[in-house]
Amino acid sequence: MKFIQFQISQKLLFGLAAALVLSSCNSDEANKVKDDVLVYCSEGSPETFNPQLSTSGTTFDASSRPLYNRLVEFEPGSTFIKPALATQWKVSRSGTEYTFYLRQDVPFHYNNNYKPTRNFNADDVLFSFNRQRFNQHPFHSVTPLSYGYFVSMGLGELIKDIQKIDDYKIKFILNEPNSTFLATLAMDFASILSKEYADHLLKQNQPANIDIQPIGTGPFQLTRYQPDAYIRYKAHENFWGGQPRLKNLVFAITPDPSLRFARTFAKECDIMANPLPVHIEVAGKQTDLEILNEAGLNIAFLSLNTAKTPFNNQTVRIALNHAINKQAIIKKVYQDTASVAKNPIPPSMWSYDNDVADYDFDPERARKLLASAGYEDGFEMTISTMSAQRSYNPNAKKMAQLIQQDLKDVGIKVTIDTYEFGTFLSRTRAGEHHSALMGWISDNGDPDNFFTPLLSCAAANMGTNSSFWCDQKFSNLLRNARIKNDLRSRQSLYKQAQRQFKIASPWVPIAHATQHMIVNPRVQNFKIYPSGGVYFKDVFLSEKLARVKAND
Amino acid sequence: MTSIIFRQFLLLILGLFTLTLFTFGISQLFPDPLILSDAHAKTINDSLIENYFNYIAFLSQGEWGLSRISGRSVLDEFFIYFPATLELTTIAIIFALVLGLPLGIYAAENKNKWQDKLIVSTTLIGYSMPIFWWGMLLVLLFALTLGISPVASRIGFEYDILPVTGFMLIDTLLSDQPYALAAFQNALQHLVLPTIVLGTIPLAIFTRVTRSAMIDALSSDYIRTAKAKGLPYDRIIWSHALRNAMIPIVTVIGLQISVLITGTLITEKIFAWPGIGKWLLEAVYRRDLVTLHGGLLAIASLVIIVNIAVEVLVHLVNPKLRHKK
Amino acid sequence: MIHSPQFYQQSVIPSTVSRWTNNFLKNKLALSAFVLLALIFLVALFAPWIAPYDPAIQFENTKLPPAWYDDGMARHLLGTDDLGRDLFSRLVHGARLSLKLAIFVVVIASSIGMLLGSLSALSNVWIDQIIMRVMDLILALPSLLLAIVIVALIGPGLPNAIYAVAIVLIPHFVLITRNAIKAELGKEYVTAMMLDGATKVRLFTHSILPNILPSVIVQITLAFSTAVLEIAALGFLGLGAQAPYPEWGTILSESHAYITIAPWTVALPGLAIFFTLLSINLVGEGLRDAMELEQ
Repeated sequence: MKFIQFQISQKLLFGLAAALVLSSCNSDEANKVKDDVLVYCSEGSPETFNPQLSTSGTTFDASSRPLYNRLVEFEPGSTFIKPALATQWKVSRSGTEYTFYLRQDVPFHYNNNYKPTRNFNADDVLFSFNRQRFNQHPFHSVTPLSYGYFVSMGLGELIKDIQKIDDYKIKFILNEPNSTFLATLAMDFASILSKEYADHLLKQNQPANIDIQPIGTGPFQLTRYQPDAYIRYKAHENFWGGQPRLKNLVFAITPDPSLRFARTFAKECDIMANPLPVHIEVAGKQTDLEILNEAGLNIAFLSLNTAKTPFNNQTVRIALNHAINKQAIIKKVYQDTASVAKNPIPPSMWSYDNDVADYDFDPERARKLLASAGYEDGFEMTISTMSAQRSYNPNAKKMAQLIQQDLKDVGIKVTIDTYEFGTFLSRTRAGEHHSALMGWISDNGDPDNFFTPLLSCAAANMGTNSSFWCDQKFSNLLRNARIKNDLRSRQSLYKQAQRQFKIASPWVPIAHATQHMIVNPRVQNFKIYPSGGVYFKDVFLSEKLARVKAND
Repeated sequence: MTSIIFRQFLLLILGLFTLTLFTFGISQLFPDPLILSDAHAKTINDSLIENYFNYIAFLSQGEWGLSRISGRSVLDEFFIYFPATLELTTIAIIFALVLGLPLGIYAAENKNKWQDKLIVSTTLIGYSMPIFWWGMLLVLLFALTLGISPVASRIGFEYDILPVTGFMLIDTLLSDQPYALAAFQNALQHLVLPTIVLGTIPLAIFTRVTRSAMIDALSSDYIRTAKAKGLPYDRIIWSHALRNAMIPIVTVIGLQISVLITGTLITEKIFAWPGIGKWLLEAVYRRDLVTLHGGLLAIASLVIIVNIAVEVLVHLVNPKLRHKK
Repeated sequence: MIHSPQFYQQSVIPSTVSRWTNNFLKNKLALSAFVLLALIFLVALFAPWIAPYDPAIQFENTKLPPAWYDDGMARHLLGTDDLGRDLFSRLVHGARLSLKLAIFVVVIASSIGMLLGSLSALSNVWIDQIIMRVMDLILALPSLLLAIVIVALIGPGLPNAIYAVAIVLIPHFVLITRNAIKAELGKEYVTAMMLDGATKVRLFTHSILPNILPSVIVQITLAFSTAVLEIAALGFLGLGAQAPYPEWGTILSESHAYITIAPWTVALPGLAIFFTLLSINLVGEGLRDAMELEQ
């Protein structure tokens, strides 16, 4: 009698154990559900579902890549440009007029609120670009974000006019010839939105929904989004490029890399974005996980805000270049999955100048340079970092700590400030940082895509040039390289730019990272590309593995 | 009785008043980010008192400002995230009660014997457990090493469940998907580890409170009388002793709300649980003061209301207080 | 109590404190917890001499397991972390940091709390009501939530986190002091002393203070345990001590990523927090029991 209570708690314990055991036996039902869904563990929430309004790869992965198309697109993994929403194009002899012939029978997505009545046509192209071009456009400011790429690449000044010739023919007229224009149109921010949907929303008086409940022409359509939790897509069965092989696609938003790996390890995720080097080490020992790698077109660097003392002093900047042990960073932060950077562009990019000599790791010399600049007692500085990791920098906080130790040896006292990704970006754009651990991934494989947004005077005004270093001569050199059409002269101009960059040293270039993804072997046909980004159009899930499980 | 309810009601109003004074003070110190809406901005003038009344007016109209991250109304967001937290905390309290009450009673029955000592020292261990560490260890063992529990979140990503009520256990059952039942089971599995992590400290506290309340009750005169009368042991424990021991237990449950919300912040971070805790932490990381202001206001009001409600409940349960004037 | 032949019976009445001490010493569990806590304090006090290395120095060998593993090294007793920093040195310095901060927090919270409590008890109804309503409010706010809100308002970092935790701990001290003083003031011996012309200071030090001491001591141990836990929790959430401070919670959150490959970097700092909390709680429990036996 007396033990009755004890028996009750025993039963409870048993129940608890049963609940745990339950989870180990997967019912057939549960397995069948899993067969139809690919789960991609992504590194963060998108800022918006409109790629025009972003410069972040995370946003592009969730918006432009599954949801939208461009007039022309890159052959994935190369800088070769292929037809997309435009089937062909003509460039005038002067190099200032581009005529595009548009694809017909391209249907848009639909949702509960909107069913399209017409297919894609020239009005949609006009709408997509005019929204970015004109301040007065009814959709220009519906979302409080800026058109980062459009502005920093100077497209407002470059494009003189866009003319609709007929429903399936459109002409871009430029103010001057531009060798990168076609590649520019293939970039994510040049995605084409639906004019009809925009009009529909305007009638409902909810124009901002165009960026929240997106309608595009891409292989997948958005079904549900919960910020910081998940994004659900389903296949767009009428996709003009053929129905995608995946039925459902889920982005499991997991900013914490440890959790992301744990989910992949436990097979809750099929693909893990940006694993830490340590995860690659663990996954390498696992037979049921595959590791994909690819040398990335990227760079991680310490950007010194030249608008603030003492980084307005070139000698100080060079001293910092001597004081930081990049080799140790490569070993401890990247675990040797990266190469040391000396130029602002990665080695596999054309026009890379390997003859540029890097500043050696030499604390003694750094101290002398600091003394000659009047800082024999050192100074105090702040390094801003982000808590999120990127493919070019697996752990910015850790990198900052290593730099902190190195600089302590030459008498510089470093404070580290860590911010969440969005906050970090807005602070550095506003120039509130003293120095910051930044990075860049190529969008189109062209060197201009590194130099202009990161080091030109125009970009300093926009804020993508985080060192705020503005040398008019350097900017002119970049402009010359941009309007030239032959590769040879462009190449020599970019080599010149790399040498000038090295002398001015507005950054300490640190590393070019190899990109990694950890993938469940049931995922077929998934690839990673040097310019980053995930594409799911041709991916599918093999049923073999699931069947083996169902049998036992 | 009515005077007690009136008194508690007064305390509730006073509590909410101090709370809004406090948040209003914050909004005065950090004015820029804490303007609730354009209409609110227009009302701001030199008079503090007027500003305060306007502030209250806007709050009571449900104008709690727009999140700096998502652009959505903070009050709407609160109700999106709150069900997940409520579901988890409710289950955690049930877990702690269902385990803690019997353990406490059992320890009290065996006062100072080895069983009692074992239970008491175990509760001290539970009470001293840093739950962020405890959570990591449980995930490492059950999810990563043994593979018998999911790692995180409320349900497997393969299940597409329409959020109707926001309570996953209910929504899975309401779902018209063919896999609704499997989804329900899956949601249950996802609850196990977070419940243990969040419930550990309340479990330790409930066990201890039950134990000492039962010890007091068992040594009282009426129990001795009941024993002398030869009532069955079960009845003595369950209908006499426990009923009287319930008073301190209910009081402590009320006080646990605050502790549970602290635990929620950590548990939701470890298990990526999309509730209030994760919402507020995300707001801190992004310096979204509007969301924090709203979250603080909502949670503190909730705690104040629950505490007062418990106070009233205790008065209703306790015959001594019930008849007092 | 018969010591030697005496002319007349003499009983020695031990002082209150010595009775408490006796009671406490009889409780073996509490006593061993006290020894453990004292040990942790000693480690914290002599950290620079006990720790073999500077906690920030990075060695070549990263993620080295503790010395008792096959691939461990004797010179790194508890192994190294992912940057090659000696874990033993970091934990030892972490003890110093955690305890120092917790003591600081408790001193601030208890002195402000007791001051406000006395003020509340000895002033007029209005001031009393204002103080009490503010304390009620702080009690209604979940402690960690209040701390993160404070940190969000004035920025992350150690000092801000410390103030946040201290504020959260104040109300308990206020309540205890206020209620005890109110209770004492109503007693007859106090009235008698007042009639005798005792000054307020004398009244406070001779009659009130000794009477509230037991509950204040118990509250101090409780507050101390809360402070250690909360500082570590803020560190874990990335809102407390920032790198490279070897704060236990911060170490734990930094090594989270290595849980599968270097589990000791997670297990050891967690154990350090756990044992510190356990010993504080056991000592607090023992003290309370010892004092309760008297009453």
